[in-house]
Amino acid sequence: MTTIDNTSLQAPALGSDNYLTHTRGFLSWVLTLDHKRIGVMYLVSVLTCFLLGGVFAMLVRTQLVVPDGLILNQDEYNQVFTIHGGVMVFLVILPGIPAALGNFVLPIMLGAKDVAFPRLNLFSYWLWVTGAVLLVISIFAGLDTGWTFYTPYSIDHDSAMGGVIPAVSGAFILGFAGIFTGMNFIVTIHRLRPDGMNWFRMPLFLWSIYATAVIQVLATPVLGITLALLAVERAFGIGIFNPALGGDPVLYQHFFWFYSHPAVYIMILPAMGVISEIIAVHSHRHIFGYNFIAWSSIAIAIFSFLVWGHHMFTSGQSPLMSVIFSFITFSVGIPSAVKVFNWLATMYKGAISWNTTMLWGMGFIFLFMIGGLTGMYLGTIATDIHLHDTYFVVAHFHYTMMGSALVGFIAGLHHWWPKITGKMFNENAGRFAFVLFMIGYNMTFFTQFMLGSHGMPRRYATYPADAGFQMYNIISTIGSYVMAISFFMMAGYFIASIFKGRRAAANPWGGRSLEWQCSSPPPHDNFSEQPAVGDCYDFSVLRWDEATHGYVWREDVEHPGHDAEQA
Amino acid sequence: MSQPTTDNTGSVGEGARGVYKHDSDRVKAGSLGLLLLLITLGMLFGGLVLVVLAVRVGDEAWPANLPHLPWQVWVSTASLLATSIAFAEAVAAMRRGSDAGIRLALGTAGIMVILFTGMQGWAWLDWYEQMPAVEAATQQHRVGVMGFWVFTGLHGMHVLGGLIPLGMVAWYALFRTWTASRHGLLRHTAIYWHFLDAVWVVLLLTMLVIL
Repeated sequence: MTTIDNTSLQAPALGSDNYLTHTRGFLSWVLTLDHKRIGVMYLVSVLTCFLLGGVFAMLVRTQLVVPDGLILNQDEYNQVFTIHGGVMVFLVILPGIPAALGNFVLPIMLGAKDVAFPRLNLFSYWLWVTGAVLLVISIFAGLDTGWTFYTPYSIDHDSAMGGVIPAVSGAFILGFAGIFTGMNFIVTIHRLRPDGMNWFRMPLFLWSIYATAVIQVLATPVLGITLALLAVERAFGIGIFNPALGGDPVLYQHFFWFYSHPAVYIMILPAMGVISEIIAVHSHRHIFGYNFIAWSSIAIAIFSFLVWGHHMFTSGQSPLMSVIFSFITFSVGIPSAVKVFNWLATMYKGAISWNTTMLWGMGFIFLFMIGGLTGMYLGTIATDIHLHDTYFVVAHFHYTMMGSALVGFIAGLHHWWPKITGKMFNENAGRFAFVLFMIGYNMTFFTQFMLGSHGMPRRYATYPADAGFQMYNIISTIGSYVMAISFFMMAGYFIASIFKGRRAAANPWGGRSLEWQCSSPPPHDNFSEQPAVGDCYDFSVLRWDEATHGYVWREDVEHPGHDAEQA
Repeated sequence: MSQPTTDNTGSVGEGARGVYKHDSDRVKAGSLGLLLLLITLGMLFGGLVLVVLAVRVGDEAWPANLPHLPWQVWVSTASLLATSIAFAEAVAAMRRGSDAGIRLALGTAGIMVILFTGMQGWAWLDWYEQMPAVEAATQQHRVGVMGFWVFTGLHGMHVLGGLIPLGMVAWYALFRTWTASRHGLLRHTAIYWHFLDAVWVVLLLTMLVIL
């Protein structure tokens, strides 16, 4: 093992070779085997889909501002919320952190040159694009089943207007793209760890991606076969989910949620990994309870397979099963709380940088706590019977899926933006957009808890004028517009940073994991020399360097590479 | 099997940058990747069997007069078992260092796979001829009849997928000089076909239960 000197921790010279400039041309991107470029392609695709899903979200909110509905008829409303849900779940949140950010940083954090199977990685991306196209074209076919494709809606040729087969085919293909990515990550973490990088020296982001990948590999094929059977049921009538042919529609729910509840953790676990990195790096304090955070990821992954029945308390499943599922659902709160307490303990007495990235990290903790605790209400059978299929559920899962998983993605995007692009974004604009987002977000979704507990059902295009729902809906809609403005601001300062942003130092935040040891943007090979692996949360060895606007190794502290050499 | 480094980055493997330090690392990664793929496919087929059995078990008025499996299925089962044995023999020949043994075993495997595919196709034709009569009688128990298409169809797709590595490894064995760098491919292909064999036996048993 060799050492790295401080020059490698500083910004590269202008025009230097990096992964963005290594080769040029359209084909050098679309056929690339470089995990970083594949990550960037995922990122652009995911953000494009986010815009699409966001437009449909705004249509939903605009519709509900008046009791009779402002712009859509009943059928159009059903289609709009279906596409909003489908796009956001399958094309934004699920691939957001693992496929986009994970692809970019995982091999670098690990100290590897690439993922274990670069060709499979490229194949996964194009598979993902194929699935995304199929899902999106179902918009034009009038898909209106909701993103869950519940039977009997999805097998009823009269009510489902169409698009079920392209949509489930798309979701099936997207699932396999996710499986291949997960397989790639598991093998990469097992087989490409360099000397010195043992399991308990890995950054916590890698633990969370590993746990996520395990869920992807185990649970996604069950969704795959369920959706394949649904498509065949609709096309040929095979009598598995259609009661008229001897099938059982509730069976679909069981199999769907056997995947889709673990999928919730495919969304949230990587976000928790991102937050573990951000809280430690931007508090400049050693992560508190590394082992607890690492193992809690695995615990969440295991629990995730045992709680699917809590989506079905009102489906007529046996009361004993409901009690068992309810009990196990509460248990998920334990590893989740372990993480939150450890993040708070990490911040305690830390030297917190109040930058945009850290604000998003703290925003995650705040929103996740609301989302997690309201999950307890829904995991309790008695209250769930009242709240089932109301806006309370909508608010709860937006707090976890958007307020937590998506906010984790946005936090990670800010954290690694200088590494990905080599440019710094405008901090003041970033802080302003964050505050705007938090106001808009809580206006939009906190009011929906009230709506739900007052009894407004979800998925309704209209509501009674005298039920007292309108004021909440107006506040919620205004909030959604405020949130939309914050997202456009974010897009503005990110794009501006590419053209006018200050060059990023190799280590602008003071991180210790290996991605901060290579230049920003990273070179084509990630590391010209094998990086020295040390404690990735020991920030005491770094100091701020005004000249480069980044952190460098303290001169009075020996680099771990020296120890390895002497050993 | 470990080989010296070969490219300018000091590594061998996929892509220009060379992900692996040694060829043996690449094979080990491939083995783990294959294991994960088989776990994934195991969950896929396991889900299928479970969902069909759930429908069958939940139906107390299951008819007794459903048709029997086409006789061709038994021939195809035997040929798939023979494929598996041929692959086991190919791996054994590889360990002995017998190139001729590898060629013979892979040739046999290829013929057995062709026989399997042909018999399954014939079974489909046979089943299709019976469809109108049984369909009318089993509207409330359609999975009993339609399950055959789903099981054989899904398994068949994976057999078609398996033809790619089988074709590659047979091409190398029959028309190219067999080198040690092909050992990993042969071993992995053999494992995949053993898996297809095991899955087929489970599907066959399930079909016997539902019929």
